[in-house]
Amino acid sequence: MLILVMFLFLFLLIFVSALYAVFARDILFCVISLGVMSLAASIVFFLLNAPDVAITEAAVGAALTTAIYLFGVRRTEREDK
Amino acid sequence: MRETNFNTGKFFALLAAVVLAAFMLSPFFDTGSGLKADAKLKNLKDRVSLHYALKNVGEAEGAVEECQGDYYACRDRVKCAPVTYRETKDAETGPANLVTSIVLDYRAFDTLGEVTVLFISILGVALIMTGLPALPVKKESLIQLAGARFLTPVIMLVGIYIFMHGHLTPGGGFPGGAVIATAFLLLFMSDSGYGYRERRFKSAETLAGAVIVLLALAGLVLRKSFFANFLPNGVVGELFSSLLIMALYSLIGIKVGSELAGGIKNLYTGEKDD
Repeated sequence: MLILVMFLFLFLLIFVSALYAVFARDILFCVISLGVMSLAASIVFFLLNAPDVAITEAAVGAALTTAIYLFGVRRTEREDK
Repeated sequence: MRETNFNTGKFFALLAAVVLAAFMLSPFFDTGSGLKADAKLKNLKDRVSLHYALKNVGEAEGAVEECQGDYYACRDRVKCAPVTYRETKDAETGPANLVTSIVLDYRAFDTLGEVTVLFISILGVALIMTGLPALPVKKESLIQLAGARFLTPVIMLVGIYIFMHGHLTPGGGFPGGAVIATAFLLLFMSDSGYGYRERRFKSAETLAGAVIVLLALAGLVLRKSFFANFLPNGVVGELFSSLLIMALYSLIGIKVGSELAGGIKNLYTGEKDD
């Protein structure tokens, strides 16, 4: 029961953060919410007995990809007009 | 040139697509007459590697030899030798982690391809970012600096643990290298006084890649197969158990870590135009 609640919470977190990444005006907030989505996805992978994928997703998806998008935001306009 | 429908680029793309499709569909029309292994294997269905499906890590190797090619008949006769953690010695592949034994022993050539793909993509980043104006780096606060200097060695240690234990626990060279690159990312972003020396990163990456290919060639010389496992395997489950896989994963971790760190540094400040 507890694990079901946890799954539901993580799925909801993934869904909401992905939607927020699409609709937010500030691109910096989009990038941060994409990182949150990757972190929640890595926890889902870990709960589904795929620790290999979870480690890779946490390192690449949550840290490196977010950083690369941030460097892109740094060189361009931050607000969406 | 732009108005015509038919141009050379499209023609060569179509040609390449046709050649690839012919190559991919060719096994369905192959009668198997040229095969040296077995005259019986006329059908594609029989040529799926049952030999490897029946093969076992332990003593079943001899049983497969007894079958003399008739693998269907002796499928029930092959008894699987059980593999016991910390007891089985000199198994066919050493690692306790099954995924690693597939990725770096049976399919090591795929892993070499993955390393090459990463190398080419980082090369592309370096090519594109060359000549962009270097962005200024802000002076950092004391708390940020102290926190980064405290955290960086811990993150690096976790990355080294992940790739050193790739044959025992989940993880391996690519996640370990990515974690190490994360440590360098923290250092680049929070410590403006960090002396980044590009030559060291590049030489670590080149050396690791060269040693990976040399180990593969050593397998070709000693065991007559590219990426053959020629080092002793030891007891399943111990740290120094499957030495070749451990060495390969450590080298891949160093290569991926230095590569990604260099690429991130390029993206962060822009590469100098020498």
